Amino acid sequence: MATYSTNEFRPGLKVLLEGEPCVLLEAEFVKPGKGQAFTRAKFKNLVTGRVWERTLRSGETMEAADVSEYEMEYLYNDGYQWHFMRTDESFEQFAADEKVVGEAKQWITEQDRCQVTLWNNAPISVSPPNFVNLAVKETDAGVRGDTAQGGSKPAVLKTGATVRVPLFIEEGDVLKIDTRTGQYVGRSKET
Amino acid sequence: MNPRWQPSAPIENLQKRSEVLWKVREFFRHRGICEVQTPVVGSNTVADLNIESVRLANGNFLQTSPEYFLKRLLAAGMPSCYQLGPVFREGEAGRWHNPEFTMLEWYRLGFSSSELRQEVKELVKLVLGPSDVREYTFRDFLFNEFQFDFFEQSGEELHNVAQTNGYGADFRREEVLDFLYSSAIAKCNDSRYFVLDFPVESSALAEVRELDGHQVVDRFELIVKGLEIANGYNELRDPAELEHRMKRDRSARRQLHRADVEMDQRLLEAMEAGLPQCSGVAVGLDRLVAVAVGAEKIQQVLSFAHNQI
Repeated sequence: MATYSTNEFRPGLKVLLEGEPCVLLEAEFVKPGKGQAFTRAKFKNLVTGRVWERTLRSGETMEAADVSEYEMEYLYNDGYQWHFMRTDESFEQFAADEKVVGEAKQWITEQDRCQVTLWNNAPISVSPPNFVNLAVKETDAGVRGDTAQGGSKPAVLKTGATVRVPLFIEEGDVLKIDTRTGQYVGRSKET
Repeated sequence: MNPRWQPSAPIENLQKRSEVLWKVREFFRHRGICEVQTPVVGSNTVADLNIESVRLANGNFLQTSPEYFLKRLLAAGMPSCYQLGPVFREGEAGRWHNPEFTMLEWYRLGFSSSELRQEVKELVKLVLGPSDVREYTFRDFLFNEFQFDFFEQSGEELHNVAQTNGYGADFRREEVLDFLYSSAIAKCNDSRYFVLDFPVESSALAEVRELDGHQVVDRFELIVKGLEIANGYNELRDPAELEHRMKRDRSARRQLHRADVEMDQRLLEAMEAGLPQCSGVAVGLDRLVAVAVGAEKIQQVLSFAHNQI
């Protein structure tokens, strides 16, 4: 297995920490004038998203994690798992369970292109596209006179997600949503 | 990104750096302290476990500090003196480290370490302006941050404190103390302070003294805005003790599979001839300039940092 020494540490490096795949966020060389050199590093656990801080001896090594990220098309959900296919014409397919798909499940619809992270060739996380277009399934009828005050109301989208939308939005409207913030961006011209 | 031929530091920082150099030289001239220049290349180097030297193809070493040469001058009758010039440390690169850096090192005959601290304080005041400078013993400094008394508490308790503060593995006692010290510096909000009376594990070439029935090293560090700026000693004068520490460092190096470093016999002979009582201190000049100009990393005060040469 490949290893990385602390002097090869660069942000973005994928390593195993306590047996879990992590990405290195930042590393700083720290050394008291008359003392041992350390590397103070921050890691993000790729499975849980938690950030871990660790201090390592300089020169210490960490095992590389076999982690890769691919663009994949979301194919379908079979009731248990979400199925994805690589877009690089390898047509390789992967199935991810609900824990792995996580937050992404409330945004994605068939044929969306997602970023899927694999660890040892199995999905560990799914990122939806930054922007998705989704139709409104349910929302209270708008009160047109109120728009001047810029109020908002909840709307349920066809994927089940709930977002705050302006009062003039009606059922059947297609909305553009920023999945990173979960916020309404505007009405979509695409359908 | 700047084109790669460009300097690391903004030009105005290099101009301010020049002003600091003038102030420093005037400070010493005013006090009648002689500037000396000793070789950057020597056939020996320091055996300290935590300092790696750059070894040249002919077997000589780039000096990690002018300490050994300056002590040979002092033993030969040179009065108080200083050197301002480049030193080199293998592998030390980071936000506040560059493998080549500028060290201001000076020795004061007849000074105690506390008299030398006073002088360091005045020099820093001249460069950075006035500010309070508190003094903490190493023991109090650690106790204030971690409620841990390294005189009284066991090695096991030491490891527990380190682990709850994000320290991973089962390290040697010296390493854990280094780690806690670095962490305490990161936590302390004073803008300028001295830490003194270090544990004997980090004795280097400083005298040992007694504090509350425990042995401590008569050594101090000046911290400014969380950065170690200066490291000073009441200098060790006993050649037998010097030989003992050099042997100890060599065997520690062997145990940890580090490059062997031979004893500097000329330094030993100079100490046998007699080093006058003195205190000495080394100041990281780049860092001092960095604080003076408000830089966020050492590269902002270096004409060309190591990755741009």
